Amino acid sequence: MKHLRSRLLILSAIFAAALPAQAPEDYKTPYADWTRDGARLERDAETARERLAARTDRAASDAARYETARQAFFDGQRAQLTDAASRFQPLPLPLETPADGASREWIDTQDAVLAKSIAAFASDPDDGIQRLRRALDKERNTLAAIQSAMDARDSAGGAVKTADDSVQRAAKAADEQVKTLADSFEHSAADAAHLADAWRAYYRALANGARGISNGDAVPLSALRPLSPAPARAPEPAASSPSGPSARPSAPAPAVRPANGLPLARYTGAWEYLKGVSTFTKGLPPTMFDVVVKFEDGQLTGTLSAKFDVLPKADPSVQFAFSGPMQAEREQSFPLKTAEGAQGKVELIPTGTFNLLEVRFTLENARGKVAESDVVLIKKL
Amino acid sequence: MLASTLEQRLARILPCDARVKSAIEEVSRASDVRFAALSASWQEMENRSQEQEQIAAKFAGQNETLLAPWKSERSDAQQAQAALEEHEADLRESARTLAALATAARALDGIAADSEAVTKQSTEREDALAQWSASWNEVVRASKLRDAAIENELKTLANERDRWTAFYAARTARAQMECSLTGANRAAAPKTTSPRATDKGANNTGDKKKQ
Repeated sequence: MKHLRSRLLILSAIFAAALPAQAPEDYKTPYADWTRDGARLERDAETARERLAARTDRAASDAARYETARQAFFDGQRAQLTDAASRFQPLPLPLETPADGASREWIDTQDAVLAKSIAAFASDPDDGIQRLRRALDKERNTLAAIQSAMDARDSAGGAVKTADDSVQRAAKAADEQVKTLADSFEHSAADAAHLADAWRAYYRALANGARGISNGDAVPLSALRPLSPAPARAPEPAASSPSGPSARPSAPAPAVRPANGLPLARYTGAWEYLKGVSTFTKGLPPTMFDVVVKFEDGQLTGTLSAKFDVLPKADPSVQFAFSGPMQAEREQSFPLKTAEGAQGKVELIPTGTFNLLEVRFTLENARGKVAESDVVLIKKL
Repeated sequence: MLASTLEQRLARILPCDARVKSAIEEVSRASDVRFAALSASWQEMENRSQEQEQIAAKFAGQNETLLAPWKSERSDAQQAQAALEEHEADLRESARTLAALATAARALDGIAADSEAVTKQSTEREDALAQWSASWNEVVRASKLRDAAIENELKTLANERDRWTAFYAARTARAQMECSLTGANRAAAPKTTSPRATDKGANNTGDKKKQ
């Protein structure tokens, strides 16, 4: 009965371990809707003007539903992989008890006592004593057999430990693979969530563009959350060698990749302030904001040149250079010093979108200058 | 505890006292109980090990089950990527005549780059899955060896239990022999009070006997 129950438990555990197939059907319907509602939007944008807005709203909603459903698919895959990995825990092997060691000591002692008695009785002519001597000898032989059996069990226990170590090593390797896959799904889920926001922002920009508004709603900050730095992320092209719209991330990976896992191209290149895409959250509105960043010999070096919409008599211009080693954090922070001698700090913060970079600077003791600014710049093509 | 004091207890009992036999039997039973507990513990380990082996075997065979939705997702993502590239081309064309669309075009370029990165993750997962079966099969192979090792441990445990049983039987036989010798001596020479065997210490170890 106990054996049967044990087998049933094993079978139920194995059944639970079977990875249920999760079909990606849930996102197919939103995608079909999106394909239908979003068809020809980009082509019609040239002529549709105000009429495009209703269509972009539908497409934005479809896109968000599609990306949300994909996110759920990725999350589901990750969950079942994580569950699989949790099923391999080391076995709590029975430990050698102190009594085993004490038994060996006792056997040694008892063997010596028996040997002494057997030797003492060896020359005794009494039949009864000789029978007793044989009984003692037989008893001694059983002790020797116990010692052999204990040696065999020690050896068997060692073999179990060795075999269990091998299982743990193999399970760890499999577990690491499972975790890598689970992490990849986690990143994909986060990226899908980000893309849902990015699509909304895009369709808003598309509707504004169709109306002829190039400085319409800026891309909302919600769309600019950091895209998760996935370990399996596709390499992106180095922006220091812009080669036009056709050269997109299929270009070779840069040789150097920062410790934070992001491609260098998220920092390097020429960046500009563009109304309609760029935003500013601190300080005065810029009229021009150019940043050029390069990576040389392990150092990020850059120049910043900006003009702001300031009151009369104030200096609208801010210019400085900066440099420093690449840091492990996503946010790269560097000290700065202007030509006029003002000191401060500049930070480069990649956003969730590939071609947008948040740049933040503060100046100290810069009389008549714009002392702080926080803008999102777009990469120049 | 009983086993550790067996010889001490026996040394204080006359050879033909019924308590000699009961004392040995008591320790023998305690020994059996101890081995039964150890055996149950290893049996539980064997069950768990077999369970893990079968789960690993199940995982090793799940390759295709996992791969099917992943392939489907990757294929869908690639189709979506292709459609996205068409939209980009259309928008670039529209932006030539309506410059205000340049902002949207740049945003779409960014989305396309990110989407491509996500699609590449899908492809890389498929590639990584090629190692899945090999990894879990290695767990299965190692688990089989562990199952066999535990099975052998159980056999050696049973063998040791039997050897202890044989010892207690031999010890009982010796006690009976001592009784018979003492009785014979008493019949032949009633003044003899202690057996020579006892005098020579074989039954009077006074040690710390544990088993």
